[in-house]
Amino acid sequence: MIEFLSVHKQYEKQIGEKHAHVALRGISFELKQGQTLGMVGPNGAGKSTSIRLMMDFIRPTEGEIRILDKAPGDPAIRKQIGYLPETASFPKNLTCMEMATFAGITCGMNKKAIAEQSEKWLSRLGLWEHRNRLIRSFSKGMQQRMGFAMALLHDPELLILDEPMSGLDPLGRAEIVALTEGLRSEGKSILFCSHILTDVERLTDEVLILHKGKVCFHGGLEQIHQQTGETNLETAFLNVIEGQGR
Amino acid sequence: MNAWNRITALSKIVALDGIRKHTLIGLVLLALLAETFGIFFIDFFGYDIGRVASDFFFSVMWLAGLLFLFFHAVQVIAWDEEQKIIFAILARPLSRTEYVIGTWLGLLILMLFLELLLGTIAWLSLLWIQSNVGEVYFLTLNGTGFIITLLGLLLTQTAVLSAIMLFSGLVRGGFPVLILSLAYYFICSGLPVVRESIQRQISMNNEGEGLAMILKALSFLFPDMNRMDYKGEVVNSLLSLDSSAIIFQIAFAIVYALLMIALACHAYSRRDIQ
Repeated sequence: MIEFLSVHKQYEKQIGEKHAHVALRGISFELKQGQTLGMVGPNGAGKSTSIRLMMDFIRPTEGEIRILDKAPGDPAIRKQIGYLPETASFPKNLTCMEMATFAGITCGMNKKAIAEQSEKWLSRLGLWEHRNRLIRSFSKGMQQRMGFAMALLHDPELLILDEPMSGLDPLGRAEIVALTEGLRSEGKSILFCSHILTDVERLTDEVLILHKGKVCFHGGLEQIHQQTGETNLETAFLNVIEGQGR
Repeated sequence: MNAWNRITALSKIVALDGIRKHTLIGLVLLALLAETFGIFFIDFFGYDIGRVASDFFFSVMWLAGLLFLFFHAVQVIAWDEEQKIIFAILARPLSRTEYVIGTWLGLLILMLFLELLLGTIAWLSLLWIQSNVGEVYFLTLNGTGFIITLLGLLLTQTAVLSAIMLFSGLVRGGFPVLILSLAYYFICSGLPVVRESIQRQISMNNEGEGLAMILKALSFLFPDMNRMDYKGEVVNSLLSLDSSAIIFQIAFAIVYALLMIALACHAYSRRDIQ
């Protein structure tokens, strides 16, 4: 589903900077069909850069990326991808339904399918009664839930979730965890990026730890526990990072 | 067909989002107020009232269009990036080219809406003024001339909008795009004056032909904004314009706008979205 082969990413040098920022230093990993991969790492590790590369928002300096066996630059593959950005943000003067209609049309859905899927996901995420309200009156949590609805509207095979719990209250968080567990049991492939390691531990089959643009660990949860001798992901994660030198 | 559906879906949300913005609602109200004021303004003139009124209405439409272009259109792509809306849009199966064309089309729809609304009110106001002041002060109101003038204004502003899209594709941030767009506009407006003065110099002492050639070539890049200003035709009983010249100008404006958009698509497709 997702394949990274020796991917390097160096951003353009900004005014006032001595050196260009290198975000990724030849990382390679793979997410197989039906798998859930948790991508974790400290701030600046390269998680967001990796996700932006998958979505073709930015291009790699070196290396190759394959998403659903195609290059990320092919927009057609995004019909099978549900993407939730770290901060879901939408045009403020639109309603939830107008945004859902846009999302559906761009994925080639007909009016009936858009109406059905919108009702299904907006109801599930507690937004159905707010569907005709302007987004500018939505709270951050509501926008995040709306982002989730937009990501799921077209029934994608692959989900790329960048900090899905961001801005959610404990109730909303529990709801999203339950929803993600449901999607996982349906066999969807999920790439999940989060700082909340208990969520990662609960929701993923494999963990990918990034640090300073390199892969420090990639493997199953049991494997990281065995390798570090720790019993939970949080301490195991700290162990791996400290092993690399903070 | 699918690409067209995606483009129109995006243009619809760009137009809807714009039309509900308080600043744009304010601009429309201000322009309508200015047109209403025009009806009283002509009371200060004792002759050629038709020309004064039509010039005034078209100036209001021109100014409203420029305010829309320089205070809204220049910001749209920059806002999408600054507010991270771009990620929600480009997460859909939409290519960068479709994004640029869809945004351009949405802004074009807004601009057409603004100018056609003001144009309709201007036309009705001119009819009302003509019926009130009588033939001595307002002899002719030429419908064809009015439509040609409106078309000229729309095409000129469409060309400016396309140039704004190109600058939005080339640089980040609303302010740099505004600076580039204003510089472009001032060059377009100032170039004919410079060309005229060089021509005068050539006719007087046969100097500066090389510079005149360069300026002529530059005028294809920075077209004369007054070239499609046909305001005078609104109150002419017979159109004084050469139809082939009008067709050439219309074709030039369309080709120019399309070329600018093609370049904007190319520039935007190459850049990193951060």
